[in-house]
Amino acid sequence: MSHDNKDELFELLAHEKEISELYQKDQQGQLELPSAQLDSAIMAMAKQKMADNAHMLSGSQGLKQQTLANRNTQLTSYNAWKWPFSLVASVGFLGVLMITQRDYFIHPNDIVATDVGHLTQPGRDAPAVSVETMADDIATKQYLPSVQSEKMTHSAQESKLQLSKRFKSMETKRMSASQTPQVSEVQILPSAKFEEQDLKTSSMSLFELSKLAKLLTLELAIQGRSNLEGNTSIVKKQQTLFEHLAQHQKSYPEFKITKKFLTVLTDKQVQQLTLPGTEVVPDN
Amino acid sequence: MKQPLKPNINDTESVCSIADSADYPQQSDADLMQGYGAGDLRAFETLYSRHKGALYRYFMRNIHESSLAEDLYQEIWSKVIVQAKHYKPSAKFTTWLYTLAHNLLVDHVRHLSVVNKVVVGSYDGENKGEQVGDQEAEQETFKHSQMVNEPETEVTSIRVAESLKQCIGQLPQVQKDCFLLKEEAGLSVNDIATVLNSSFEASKSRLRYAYENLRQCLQLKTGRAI
Repeated sequence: MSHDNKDELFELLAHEKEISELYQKDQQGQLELPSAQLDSAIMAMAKQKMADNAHMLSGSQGLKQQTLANRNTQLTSYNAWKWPFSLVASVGFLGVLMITQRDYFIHPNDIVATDVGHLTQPGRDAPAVSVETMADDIATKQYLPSVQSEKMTHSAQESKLQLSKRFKSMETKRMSASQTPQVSEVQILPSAKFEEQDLKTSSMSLFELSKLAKLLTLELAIQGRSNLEGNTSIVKKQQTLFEHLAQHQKSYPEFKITKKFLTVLTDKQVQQLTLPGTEVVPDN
Repeated sequence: MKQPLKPNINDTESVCSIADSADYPQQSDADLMQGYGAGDLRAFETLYSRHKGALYRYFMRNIHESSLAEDLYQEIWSKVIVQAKHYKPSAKFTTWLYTLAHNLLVDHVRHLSVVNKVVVGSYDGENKGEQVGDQEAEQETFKHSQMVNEPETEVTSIRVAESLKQCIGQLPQVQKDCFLLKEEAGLSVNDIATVLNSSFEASKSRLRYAYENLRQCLQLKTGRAI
């Protein structure tokens, strides 16, 4: 049941109707109204509120217009500076990228003088080319075609010759520089190892001396003593062995030279090593 | 006591404009309220003239102190003025208006009860004694007036009306609210329930009790059977 239907069900009883009529007929009560001053105060309040609303509305419209104008100004300045700022930012980003990732961007052939120190650091694959060589290379490549095209004078011919010489020397240097240490090591023969060691080390151990002696024995057996004069390698090894044996003898007086060393040395060397008072110990 | 706002416009002009505001008799309260929200002052004048008497008496019956009743009356209209711009007619304007009035009255009564508890703790007992004494004195006066040879009907009606007002004042608050909302504001029981935030049956029951109490009170005061 709705509330409206409920209202229809509610009816005043007889005595209730009488009381209601009494109340409504009370003329004095019905004339009980707010004073004129109170009416005026309330109407003034209503008028004031309406004026405030109108003022606020105009104020808010003005504020909206001002906000819109400020926003437009901001948008205009943003549009004006958008592309320059974007360009500067892009250039900056690329610059940072070039600096941090220069190995990726710069080809080793285009290295300039200041980059040499950077590239000659260990672990780099770039060829070890000197600064002067690179500079000359660049200068020659740029200069030569123009010289050829011109009419050759005497001075020009001289300069061309000089440049050609420098170019050749540069090529030689480049070739030598392009050889890596690994390749050199591969190319070294076992027999030459002792020569290198001779250069590197000031003294050889007894074990190494005995190995060198064995190697000499083998080489002598292959070559034969008659052809020794032509084989500088054997002579050099003999000399090395002799020098180290002599040095070892001086360092250790109790050291006695065995027969295996003496058999591979020349007679002169044997005589120098086996002075009177020295004793030759047979191999065991 | 809060003083009424001083009007910026001439009092005479205001009263005249209120009197002339009968150009909107066909418009509903909600339309008038929205008209005022849109900036039509005459719509508010019409609305005010429609409801000012009933609302004023509603406060006067609930609060015996007229100055305080006027303050509350003015406060209610100030609320109406402030909320006019955002008013949406979801319910009857009268229901909305008297809901505001009732809530304000409840707040005021609560405030007064707290003040009374703090200031005069034993005031209730004395007041009851005074009330009984007042009733006896009124009955004596009524009997005395009957004995005086005045036009009988006029005197009787005035006395009955005064007695009725006194009886209304003696009603419990909820019953008084129901009665005044019914008789002054002309609200239906359902609207009364909405204003008082109670059920339909409760409002109906309170209304019945209010009439019954008034009947007994009038019988006691005037000696007249209703």
